[in-house]
Amino acid sequence: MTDFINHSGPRPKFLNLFKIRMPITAIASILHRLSGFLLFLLLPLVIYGLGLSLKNTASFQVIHNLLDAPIFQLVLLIILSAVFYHLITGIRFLLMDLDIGHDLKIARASAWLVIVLAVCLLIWLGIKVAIL
Amino acid sequence: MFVNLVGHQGGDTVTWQVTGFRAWLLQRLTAVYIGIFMIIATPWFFINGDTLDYQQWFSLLTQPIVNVSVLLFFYAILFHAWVGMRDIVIDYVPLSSLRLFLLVMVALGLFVMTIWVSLILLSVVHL
Repeated sequence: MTDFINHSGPRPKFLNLFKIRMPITAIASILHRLSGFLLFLLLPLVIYGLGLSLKNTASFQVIHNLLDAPIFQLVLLIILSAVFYHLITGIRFLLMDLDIGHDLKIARASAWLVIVLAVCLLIWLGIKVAIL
Repeated sequence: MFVNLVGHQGGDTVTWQVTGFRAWLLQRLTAVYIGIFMIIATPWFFINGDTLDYQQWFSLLTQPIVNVSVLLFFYAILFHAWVGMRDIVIDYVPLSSLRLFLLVMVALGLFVMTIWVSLILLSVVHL
């Protein structure tokens, strides 16, 4: 990490996304942020749902039926794809913190890999949702 | 890796706050817990979700081990979200008054959610 972090100049540094060139590694990274932000926004809904599911039989059934409703399955698909994308790329970042796959060539390949993996998982989930 | 991150100035004593090391570490530790939890919980939901009824679900979360690990899962998410949202705001919002406002709003929201999820999960266990 030492070689490419320059700690000189005023801090904090602000990033203008429109002025940054976006190679695949950067796209994998920005999607990680985007999915994380989306999940942050969804967090109150999840907590609300947890509360309802534990309140009583009737409210549990409301959540259970909601999860079974076709329209909500689509919403669930979006949520789950954000979760899994965040998880898979997160594992990639954790490995990089351990100096695994830090080489630029490998980093590019693994960026492609996590994106393809996430898309595959999304398709699989989509099929599962469509069948059930 | 720790040496690389903390000692980037070569021998300088760099405090945690300057490097954001504490935030970095908190984000990684919570990530590992959340990841492990997800990898266990997701297949469980796929297998048991359809047949699950209220009694089973309720009594599952009454079990102290489950209750505490779910609570820790949410706490981990809330801390993880704080570091992540803080990174996002600091990186993209150059206007300092707006930046402060957004950080306060995020912190407030996460604080409220912490209390909220605690009340939900602790109301299930009868101490």
